[in-house]
Amino acid sequence: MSEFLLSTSNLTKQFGRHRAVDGVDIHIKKGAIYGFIGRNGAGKTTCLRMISGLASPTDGEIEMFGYTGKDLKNIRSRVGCLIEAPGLYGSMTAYENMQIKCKLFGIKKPGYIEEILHTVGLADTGKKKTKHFSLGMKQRLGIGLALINEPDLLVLDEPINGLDPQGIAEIRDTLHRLRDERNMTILISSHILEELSKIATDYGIIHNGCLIQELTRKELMKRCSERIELTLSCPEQAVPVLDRMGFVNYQIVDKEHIHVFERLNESAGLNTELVTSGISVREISLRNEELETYFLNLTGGATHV
Amino acid sequence: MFNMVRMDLYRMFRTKALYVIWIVMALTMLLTTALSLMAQEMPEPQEYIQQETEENVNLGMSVSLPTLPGKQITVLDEVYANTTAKFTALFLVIFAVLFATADINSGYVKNIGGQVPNRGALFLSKTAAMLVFTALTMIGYVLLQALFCRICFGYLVWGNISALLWYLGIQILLHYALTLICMAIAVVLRNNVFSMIIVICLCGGISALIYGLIDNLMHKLGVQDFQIMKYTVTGQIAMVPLEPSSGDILTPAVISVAFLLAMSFIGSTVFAKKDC
Repeated sequence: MSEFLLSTSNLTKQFGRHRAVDGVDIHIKKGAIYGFIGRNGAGKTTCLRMISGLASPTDGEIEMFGYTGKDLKNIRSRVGCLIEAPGLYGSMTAYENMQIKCKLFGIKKPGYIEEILHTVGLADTGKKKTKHFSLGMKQRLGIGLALINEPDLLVLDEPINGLDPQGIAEIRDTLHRLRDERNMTILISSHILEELSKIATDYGIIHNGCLIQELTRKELMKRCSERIELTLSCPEQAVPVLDRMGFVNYQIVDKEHIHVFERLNESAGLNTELVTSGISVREISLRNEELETYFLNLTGGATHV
Repeated sequence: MFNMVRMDLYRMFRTKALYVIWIVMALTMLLTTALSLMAQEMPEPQEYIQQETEENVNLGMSVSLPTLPGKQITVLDEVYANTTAKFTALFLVIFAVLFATADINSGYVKNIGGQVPNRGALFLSKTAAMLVFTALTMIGYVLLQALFCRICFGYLVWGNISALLWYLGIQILLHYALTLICMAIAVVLRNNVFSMIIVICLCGGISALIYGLIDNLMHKLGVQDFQIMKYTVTGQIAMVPLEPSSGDILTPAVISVAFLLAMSFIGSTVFAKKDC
């Protein structure tokens, strides 16, 4: 069995000539909170709909809990989801909306619904119809609905969209609690990297239907942390110099860049040493990238937003 | 599957539209019963209205009593008149469309659509709930009709009870088939406005124009005496005689079952295949 609770292979969805999702390979470990980041229209929702079983892939495969293909239907009930806006019957109460789904799963346990409503902070809504709920309350009820039948994987599509800071904090607390208390794996999408960075343990960045990067929280923080950024024509040549100077925490990012994450006050000395060794340094700078900037740079820059 | 049916029944009985439709239907029944009393009390002898035949089919919404002049109006007469005019069908199909698309329009289907092994079963469970609704509506309709006859006419004559039960039974089956046709249309189109227009046209007789064209086409192709109405649910609703024999019941029963199976298959397949 794979080390991942969920993985996709070449997951593709095509609408007519438009390829909304193009060969996406996602890997999510058990117990992770996987932040799925992308701009509006990047293909996040389509991906999550396929993972949740609400849409069929045009191509590719999904493996969940060790099941693939048609066998996935055996474990579909272990995936709770909130895709796009929460789907609620406005003329019913929160309890009644929950009761409908409980009937589907044959859940009759007394106090079951009240417990979930308490978990998502809607225990006191009483007979209030959901059409009178605020957006935050609807989102939390949507999460509550996704929690029915104790799913092992929770798929949440933009659950913090449109929420005020307090609402966002409440959702964040709820998700942390779910992971800690129920050991739930959570796949959560958003275009707000800053918010996801406070929740997620792993990240996948999707752009124009393609997954362009998968990284852990540690890796992301490292890439966004303060560093000396060297621009060189051949970074490999600089490695012996860096080693000789005793630098250990550095990374060759691509064919032109090296990031050094330590002894940031020694940039001048480093420059001198490189030049003395005959290595031409095109640029040396001290950078401290915001998460949003990192994301924007990765997906084509702020001018495209 | 049983849990799905329980879920849909729970949802159905908590839908406001169900009670609104029942109340409006009851008020309209009261009105038509009162109108039939006025018609009977008119000075000219009421013209004997022929029973529906294959050649003389009520395609519209007019309600005509089959009561012979000088006779008391029975509950069976009233039920027959309203049913033939597709008065009850109209209310049933409106609710069928609303009920079939409620989970799609509200987005609730996204909460459950991915968690069931076969999404097509969600449509089948709706058809089971719709059977309960159709049976309850038709039976309630007969009982209310009896009450309104008593209130409006001052007397209560049921008519031939055996005939009434047979008539009610076959009409429940036909009306159930009609609601499934409407549900399938609604699920395929996923548009309440278009679906509602189509189903109201089905009940309102506008479909007769299309049927007429098909009949003419068939006649030109050399199939004489062809009437597509004989093979449609709406046609059969109007054609079942007032006191049906077992032979009269066979054709509408076969047609109903054929449509039930076909619509269940189409509806569940489309529901399973289409993305939520």
